[in-house]
Amino acid sequence: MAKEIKIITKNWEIPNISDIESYLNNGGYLALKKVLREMSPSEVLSEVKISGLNGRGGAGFLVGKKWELAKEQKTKEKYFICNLDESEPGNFKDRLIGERNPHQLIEGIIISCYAIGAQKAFIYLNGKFKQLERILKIAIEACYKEGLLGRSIMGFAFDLELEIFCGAGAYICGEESALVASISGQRGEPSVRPPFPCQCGLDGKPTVVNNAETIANLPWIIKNGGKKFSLIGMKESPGTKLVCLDGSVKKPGVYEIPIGFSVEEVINNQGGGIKPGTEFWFAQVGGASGNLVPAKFLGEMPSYAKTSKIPLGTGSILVFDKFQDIKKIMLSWINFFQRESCGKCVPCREGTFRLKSILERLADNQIDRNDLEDLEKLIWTLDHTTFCALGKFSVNAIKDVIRYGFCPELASGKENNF
Amino acid sequence: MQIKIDGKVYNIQKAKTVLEACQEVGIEIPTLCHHNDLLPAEGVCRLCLVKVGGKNGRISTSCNLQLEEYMEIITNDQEIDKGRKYNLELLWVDHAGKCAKCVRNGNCELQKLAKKFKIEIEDFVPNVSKFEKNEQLKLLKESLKNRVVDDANPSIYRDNQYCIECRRCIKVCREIQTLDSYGMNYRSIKTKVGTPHETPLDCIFCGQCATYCPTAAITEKDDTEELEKMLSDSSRLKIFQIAPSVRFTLGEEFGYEPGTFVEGKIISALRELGADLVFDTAFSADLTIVEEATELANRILAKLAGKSVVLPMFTSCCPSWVLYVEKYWPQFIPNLSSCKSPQQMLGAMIKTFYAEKRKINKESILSLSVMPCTSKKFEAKRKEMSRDGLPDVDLVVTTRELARLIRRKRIDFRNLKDGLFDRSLGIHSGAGLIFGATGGVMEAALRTAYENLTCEKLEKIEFESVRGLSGIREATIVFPKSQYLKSSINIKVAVAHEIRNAKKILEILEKGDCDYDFVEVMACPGGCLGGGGQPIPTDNQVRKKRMMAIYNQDKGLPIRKSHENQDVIELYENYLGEPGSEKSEEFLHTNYQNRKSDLSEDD
Repeated sequence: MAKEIKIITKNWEIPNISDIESYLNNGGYLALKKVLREMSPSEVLSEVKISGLNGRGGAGFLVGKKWELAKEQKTKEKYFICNLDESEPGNFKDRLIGERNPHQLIEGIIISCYAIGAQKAFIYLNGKFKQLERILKIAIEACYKEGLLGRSIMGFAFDLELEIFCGAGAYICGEESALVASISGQRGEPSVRPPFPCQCGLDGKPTVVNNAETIANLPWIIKNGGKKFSLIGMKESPGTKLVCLDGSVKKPGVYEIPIGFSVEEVINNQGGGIKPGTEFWFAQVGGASGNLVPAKFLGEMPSYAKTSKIPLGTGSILVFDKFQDIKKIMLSWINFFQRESCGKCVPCREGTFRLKSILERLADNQIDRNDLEDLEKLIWTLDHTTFCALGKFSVNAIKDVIRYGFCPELASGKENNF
Repeated sequence: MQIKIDGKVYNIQKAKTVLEACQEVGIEIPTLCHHNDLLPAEGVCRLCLVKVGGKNGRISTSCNLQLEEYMEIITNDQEIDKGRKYNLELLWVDHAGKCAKCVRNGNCELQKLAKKFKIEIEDFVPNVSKFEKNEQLKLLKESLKNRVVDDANPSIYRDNQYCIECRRCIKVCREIQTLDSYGMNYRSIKTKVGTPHETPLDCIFCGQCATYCPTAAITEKDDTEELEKMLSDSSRLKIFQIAPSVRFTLGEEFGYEPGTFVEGKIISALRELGADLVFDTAFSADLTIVEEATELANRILAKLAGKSVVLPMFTSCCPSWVLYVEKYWPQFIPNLSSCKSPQQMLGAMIKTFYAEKRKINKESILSLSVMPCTSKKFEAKRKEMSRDGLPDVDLVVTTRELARLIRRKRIDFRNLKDGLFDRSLGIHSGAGLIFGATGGVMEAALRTAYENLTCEKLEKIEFESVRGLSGIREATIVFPKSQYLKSSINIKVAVAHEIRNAKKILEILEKGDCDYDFVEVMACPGGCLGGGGQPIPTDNQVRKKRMMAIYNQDKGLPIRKSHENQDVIELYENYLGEPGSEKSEEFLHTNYQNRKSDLSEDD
């Protein structure tokens, strides 16, 4: 087992850490002070580049690269948005970051804004997180009072306004171009990329959108240096990861683990093993859009590397035991994606609906050969022709169900070639 | 830019996206959401799939794919075909599937593609006849249950069971008319195009959405059945009028090239349908010009005399433009010419002058008109446009509806003999004819106003500078000194088509830094020749051909100035007196109302 390293959850156990006094007493905002006093924005950027930090929202895009793209833009005004729309089923890490240690997040936001040259930042909050909204509001107010936000932060020549924007909780608004559309009052739909939001986003200005967990890493990186961060975890996926472990395990919860863990290790070490009386069937890594991990791949290490057998995604692990009904599971996945499709492109809008009705028939044991052919068609169409990744993700797990033969009706004896 | 398409190297000149590049070199790519007149589509329909980066490249839509140097594109292979076909099938099963009785049958883009891709079976949906339980009906698409029909206005009919959510209507309304009448409502499978909060459509009824719709989701309000009923009424005199542009476009519905002049055939077709008399809206266009030029001359002379007067004067022939001013810019209502549009002038003359001349009462006249325009249906229903409770124009049908009726009645249009207009209200000058094109009203008015104000014969009667298809054309015309003009004056005019351009002019006027004397606006691209009731498809190429035909026709006419139209001269001599007389005021002029209160404040 890897050495115990805590970056994000380090201070979670300290009482009242969400109060600014408590946070300041425990070394809070020292990284910000260091940044403002000793570092130029470019130095912050290069530190983050050295760290090799990947975005924690799922795609694992290099944070340094995204920032650089935004920094290259000549536009004077830039925006920074903290993506706290977390709505992937089985994920509850971002919300916890905000609830347990809001100032860590805010400190990360201020550092990011300093690095890219933004003077206006937003927290795009899933509107369902009412409790979190209250906590963040109090924290932001306290920061304004302490001179950590607003004009001349800590007495240095750097201004920043930070505002909470509550979305309505649509899954698609976690996608950065849809998020930008939503925050500017448009319908929450993804738009054509390029231009990426970091080149042309909110108001047509360069807008960096980073996941909350990504941002929460920044104070530590500044304090300890990018080099040190890059040595934790795996080569192409440095750092730790908050893992939302759930399902048929003894101890479900959020655990911070250096990347480089196998699913098996997490189940046994953090989760305390499979629930008694049940038997492991498969796990799903990365929420409803993630891939399935059958027993034979339990030793594989999920990561952000392109060559990885199991993409880390949002890093959640959901464990299924053999008492589960695969048809119901598939139905719950497709129900989610069908409901959350924004309705923009044909394959996702119509395809997820048709797929759902076929899977409903499957659950009712009323499926016929025609349906099986259609199923194959739909999976291919969603996989290859949708506008954004939502459509593609909607069949990720179902593809795996067929690939690993978890559903006898769909496997039909042959290796399907999806 | 050099790119490789299907293994062949091409040098692309103008195109910016892969789809445009393919079109430029003549490779056909299916699409339902893209339209060449509009900004590149957003990749909604997923039919324009291509492969980028050679055989094993990734599949992408081509409409929103920026062209890059040395790109390698594959436009057709098994996988691309599969993707296109599956997406088309998904659209097809969601579609109403009522082709046989659909007004767009035979001219529907979805139907054409379905034919091309041989989509026959209804995949994805269990056969309805096999349903045993009622509950199974829930498997049918929910949107069929949530059908929305908007028929609360006299012009445009929307039925979303035909809608494929391609968003062209949204784009044309936003990009060309800047009105945003439509948007997307709901999400996932319930996603549909609609008005805000599904309130009845409240716009300027230009009908461009109907001409850009690939299916029959948005159409003109179909009045052909009503027309049939009226035509079978033997107790009344059925008098038709035909708008100037219709004679250049109706042919397209019967396989003629855009711009083919079919005036004679339309007259014969109308007579076969049961018309008693066929008059010409181009005649009343001449009448409009005589009135409007007089009004303009009066305003200019008043200005020269130092009186306070509202200038620039706006044309008022386009009902959508009038509605736009009334709804969005009521402060400019005094600028609108008080002249009725040619349709309403002729309607009024039919029910007054002609009724008196024939000694019949106006109740026994049915005044019917064929227009390129959906908004004319609204105009005819305005309360200012009726007398003693009787409308001047009883029914308006668009070019498309007339073609539909001709087909329904099995009239062999192509083999019809050429008919002639009835006299009294039936001859036109070239000036009346060019009303059909953007800039035409301006040019016609200048031809008359020039001679009115300068008492000189206008030698060069073509005002080329106000012609064409660019958004706003400006010109300054010098009127030399005359018995009315103490010294020569410069008349500054502007011509705009499409509301986005008209809006620009109004914004400049609002700021006050503008000295136009006369402004012509047509709401539709290209003017009436691109109207919302014209044959589909209409795009820039088609509009150019129609426009050329109109100006060529004008060139060959012996009379090209409105005030030289013999029927107009006789009408004034026998009935109206002179332009601007009391009788003219009563029958040929109208007033406008502030309709801004119809809209909620600031949206």
